[in-house]
Amino acid sequence: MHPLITYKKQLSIPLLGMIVVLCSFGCTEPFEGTVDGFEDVLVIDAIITNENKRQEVRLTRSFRFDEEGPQAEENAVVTIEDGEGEQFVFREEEPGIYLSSAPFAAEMGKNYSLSITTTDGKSYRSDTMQLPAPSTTIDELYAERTTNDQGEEGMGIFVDTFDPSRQSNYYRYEYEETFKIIAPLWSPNDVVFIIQLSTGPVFEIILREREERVCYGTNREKTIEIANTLNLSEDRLSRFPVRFINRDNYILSHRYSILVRQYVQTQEAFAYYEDLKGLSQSPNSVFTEDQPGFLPGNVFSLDDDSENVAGFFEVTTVTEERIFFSYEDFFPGEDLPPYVQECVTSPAFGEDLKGILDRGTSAFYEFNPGEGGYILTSRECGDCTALGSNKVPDFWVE
Amino acid sequence: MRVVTTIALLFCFTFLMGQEKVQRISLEIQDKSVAEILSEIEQRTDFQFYYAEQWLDSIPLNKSYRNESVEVILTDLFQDTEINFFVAWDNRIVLTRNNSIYGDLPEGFLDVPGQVEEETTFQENVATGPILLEKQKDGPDKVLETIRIGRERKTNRRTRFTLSGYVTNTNTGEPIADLAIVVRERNIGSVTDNRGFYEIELPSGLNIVETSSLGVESSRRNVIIYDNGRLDFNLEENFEQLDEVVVAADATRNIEDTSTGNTRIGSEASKNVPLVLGERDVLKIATTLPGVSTAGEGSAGFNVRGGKTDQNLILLDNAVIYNPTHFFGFFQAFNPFAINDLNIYKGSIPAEFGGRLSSVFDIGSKDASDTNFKGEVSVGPVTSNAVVEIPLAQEKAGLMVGARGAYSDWILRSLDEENLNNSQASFYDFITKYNHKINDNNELRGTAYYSRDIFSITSDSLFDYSNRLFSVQWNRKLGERSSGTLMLNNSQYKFNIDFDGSTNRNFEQGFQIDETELKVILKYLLNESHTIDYGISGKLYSVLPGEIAPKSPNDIILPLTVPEEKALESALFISDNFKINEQLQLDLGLRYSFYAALGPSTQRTYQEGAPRTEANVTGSETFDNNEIFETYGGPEVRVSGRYLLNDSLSIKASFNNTYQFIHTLSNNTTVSPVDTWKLSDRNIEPQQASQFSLGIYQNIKDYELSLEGFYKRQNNIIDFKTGAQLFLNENIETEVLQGKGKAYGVELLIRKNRGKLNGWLGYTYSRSFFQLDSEFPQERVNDGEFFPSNFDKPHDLSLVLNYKLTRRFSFSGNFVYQTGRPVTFPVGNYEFNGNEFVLYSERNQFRIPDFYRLDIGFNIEGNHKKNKLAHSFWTISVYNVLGRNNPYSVFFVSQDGQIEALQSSIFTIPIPSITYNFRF
Repeated sequence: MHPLITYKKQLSIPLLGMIVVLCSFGCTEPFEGTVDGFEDVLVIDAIITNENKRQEVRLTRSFRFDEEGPQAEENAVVTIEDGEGEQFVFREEEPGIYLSSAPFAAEMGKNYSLSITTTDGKSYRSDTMQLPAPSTTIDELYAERTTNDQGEEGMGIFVDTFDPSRQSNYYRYEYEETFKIIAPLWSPNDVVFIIQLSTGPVFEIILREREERVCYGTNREKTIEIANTLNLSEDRLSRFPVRFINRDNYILSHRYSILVRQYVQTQEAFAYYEDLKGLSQSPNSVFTEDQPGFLPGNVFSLDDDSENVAGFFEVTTVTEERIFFSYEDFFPGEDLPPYVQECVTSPAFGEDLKGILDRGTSAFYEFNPGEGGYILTSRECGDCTALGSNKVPDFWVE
Repeated sequence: MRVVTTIALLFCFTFLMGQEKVQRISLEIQDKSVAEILSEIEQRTDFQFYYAEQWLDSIPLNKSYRNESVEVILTDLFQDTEINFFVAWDNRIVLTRNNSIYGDLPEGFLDVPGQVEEETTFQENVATGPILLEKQKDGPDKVLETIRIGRERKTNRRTRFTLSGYVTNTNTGEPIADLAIVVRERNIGSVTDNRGFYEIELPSGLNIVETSSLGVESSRRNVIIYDNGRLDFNLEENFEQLDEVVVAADATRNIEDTSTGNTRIGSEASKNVPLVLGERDVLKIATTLPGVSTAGEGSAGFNVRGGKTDQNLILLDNAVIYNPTHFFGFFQAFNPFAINDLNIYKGSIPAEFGGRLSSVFDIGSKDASDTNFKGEVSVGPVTSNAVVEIPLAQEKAGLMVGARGAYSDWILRSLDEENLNNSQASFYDFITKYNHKINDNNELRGTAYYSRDIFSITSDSLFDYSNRLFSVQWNRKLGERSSGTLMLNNSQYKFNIDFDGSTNRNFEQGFQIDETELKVILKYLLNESHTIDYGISGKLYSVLPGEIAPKSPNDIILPLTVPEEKALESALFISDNFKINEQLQLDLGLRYSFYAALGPSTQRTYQEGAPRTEANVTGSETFDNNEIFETYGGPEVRVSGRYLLNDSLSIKASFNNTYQFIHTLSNNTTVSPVDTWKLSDRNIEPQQASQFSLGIYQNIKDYELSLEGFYKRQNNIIDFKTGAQLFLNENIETEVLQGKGKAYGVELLIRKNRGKLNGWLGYTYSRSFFQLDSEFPQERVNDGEFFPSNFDKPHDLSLVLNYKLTRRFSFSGNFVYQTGRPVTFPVGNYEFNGNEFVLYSERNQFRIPDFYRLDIGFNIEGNHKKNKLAHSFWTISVYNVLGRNNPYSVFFVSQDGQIEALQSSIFTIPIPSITYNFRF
């Protein structure tokens, strides 16, 4: 095998010795072997918050690597008890998604537990969980032009939070970012196929029927962002980096918004997320590897001690904040980041053009008989709906 | 026909010219070389020839002999050559090329008349001694020096006497350690200790005492013994023979030693094994022996017979060395030139050692010469080593100073790769040893050692770890029959992590362990069949389990120090080497270990019948300074026995049990320098093990064979919950799982120590399992069933070969094959909190691909002229010649919501290196 293989940036291993050793030493590359074996387990994804709403419990099954996504665990009986005799019944609204019949908010001092009975008659019950803090606030959510630890320039999204009562301690962050996309090679016109004649297909240029120039893309966090303040002199996080966006990322190009949700966790929930994060990261060095294994949550089978149940039932305190900024605010007069892909045009006509339009991977740019007729570009460059929604989000502020 | 390149160790002093029964043969020779003629003589007579082929002409000869004695034929064959021959007493004929050996010959001849007379006297006496009668046919070798010990007394009814003495180097006056003293005909043997001292029991009357060792001339003496007495040897160094033997094992030690599962590796042994990046490494050699393995290529820590990596007591001059490797295990942490030998005990552990379950790695450093100034230097691609020996008082005291360093930092910085010139990796170590022979009865040795590693894995953190140790040893002869050793040892290991990122959360954190030991060992020769060793030891531990502090006032990290832990580990031990008869010998050892955990400390109590979690804490108790708050201990049995079936075949068996009070905390699958150590306390119990082993040992001609089996059970081994956070955790017990272990295996070792082609083949079949069971599901792993440990590698094969092309050029090769180690793989995905995660299997249900690797080396020696200023040699080696990409680990990352399987490997292409060594 050739030694020049993917050298992962986060593994900047101290190379010892000779130059010949370079990248023959301490390399990481895709594993070629096969991994077979499959274990079908119930997965609990349940977060009960201090918000008064119809709380949600998701029940799914684990799935094979070659499967797209999980199978829902349908028709289960799901209830939550508060330890003081009150029971909240959940109804399955969509396959595997169970919402409480009535809205409720988790309250301090109550011992919540989740009970599940699946259609095959198996029963599960969680440990009892308590709300960790009555409330939490984000003192400030802000964006700054910054350089990250890897030396890349870009935008950092930071959070400051402080709990003078020292009750919170364990924090987890989620975000949802929304960004404006403007298709660079958008044209007000489109080309449509009209009829197939013996001389060939006939096309017509029309005005576009829907918004395809300006869209709004959405991403959510892909990693577990957690922090604790136990080793800190105060229950305070300052400049906690929730998100870093490289300045070459096209999502910064126009206007950007991020919604950050701050969860205060119990020690148990934090430990679970910490382990989950540890297990899903690459090791911090090629020489050491944390012992992986099945990660038990806090829900257990009542019938079979040895049955594994994945996931966690969490009771948590939450708050959220949203901010907006534009590229101009931080990079005035500077070049926009490159678009998500390079935009080139190419001519097409006749049967070729019909084929391309049928595949739907291209967008019409202009009609130019001098250059061969219909000039097309990739769909991402001419039609922003390839990357986002053309509907302005309700919260959007220009 | 057997051919040896240099004069074989044991035969060069066999100068018996006469031969009792004369064998006569007739030969018709047409167009045959001398070698062919010799081989024909070998076929037709009982004679065997020993010589180097290059000495003989290949010119074809035409000869004719009629009923001539072999002596006459040989005289004729060699009349115009430089070749001389000697017909030895056992039909061996040794050819020598005119060399210094001749110089000794006349002296021997001068003794002949007296000798004969003595022989007569001697035979009169033996009339009453049945043993001697039987052996009478041997007679004293006439040309040998004869030494009489004691005076014959008719009243003395004893049949066996103790001969003891010191063996020293004629030139330097230094003691010669590990020299074998044997009486071949009687299968009696002994080995000199570090002070050059030996003791051997001889039957009364005539014994032909031979000495042999690597790098030292061999000698033979007739010893006629009538009482206990002393005989010192002054022997010459012999450089030529240095290269002859790869592993210095004494000819009969394999079979005669009472203990099972112990191996000695001399530092010279590592010379001819191919190297990684040009470094000699005795610890690497250790891993090629059966029963010793590492979790992966270049990983630190050893797994001995199914034991965890923290279960090995690694000693450098009696003091514990906590991390014996540099740079994650790629290099041993000692200067290879400063090391004399490494003794590994993996079966029967002597009663004087304790505190670890699986093995003892006893590394001894070299004594400095007290007569000549000497040195050794090597220059390699990554490191350079130098050792000098300075005599301080002639024939009394010497000082050895060694230093070693890696200079990889500048290479890293000069690279264009941005990732790398921020990285740092360097290490160095120093050793110094003082040895002083105060008088015949007192000897003093002192060692100081320091090693340090500095490296960075990411640009924002800097790791730094160091070992430091001191040891002082005073040996005193207390009388004719007893001697004593007093030792004081101190060791320290610490690491530090310096985190300097871009936020206000920069910190420094560290760990430190210190131990100080005082130990007394006394040896008493009760009588000819009992040798008693006994003693006492006490060790004080002090552990700083972890601390963290902000790097600057701007950093908001709260300083935290996990309180110091202290404990006293002490032991009483006694062992009796009991020789029941010639065949059966027992080593009966008993050790009583006692452990006391000392305050100040706060110990938590947990609710009975509930998992050990934060939620189930019922209270805590605080203890004052030096208050004993928990004790553990118990007897440890160390018994082994040997039964000699015949001269070259023996069986041995042993039983051992051990306690361990100190544990590493690591939730890695392999050892990391930032693993911390934890002392047993109220909530963490000591680990225990017991092991049976049984072995059969045989020497067949040049081959040493051994086959050993073992079965081992362990209790309270330490493991951790998945994803445990260990560092800076004040309540480790909430993360710890204690369980059982079992291991068994068969180890085969075939070793050839002599000849042009030498080396060894080691093969082990072994299994190792752990069980972590509890009544609570959170504290169980794999449903409480036994599962394969991280280092369960059933098949483990090592082949180390060295082929001497000529006296100056030799090839070496090293091949390793191992079953891939068990790993935990995902058995599915699941969706949680909007992202995909990997669902891991039960622990260690899969294996990474098998490991194999071939290394080759080529050694070029400078010439061996005796008066040359310095001896030099070059080593050229290629590591991983086959370019095998051995996966070190396979892991799964969740990236952008997708699961990716990645493997990491250490060396994926052949790594060449060249090293220059010289000594003066």
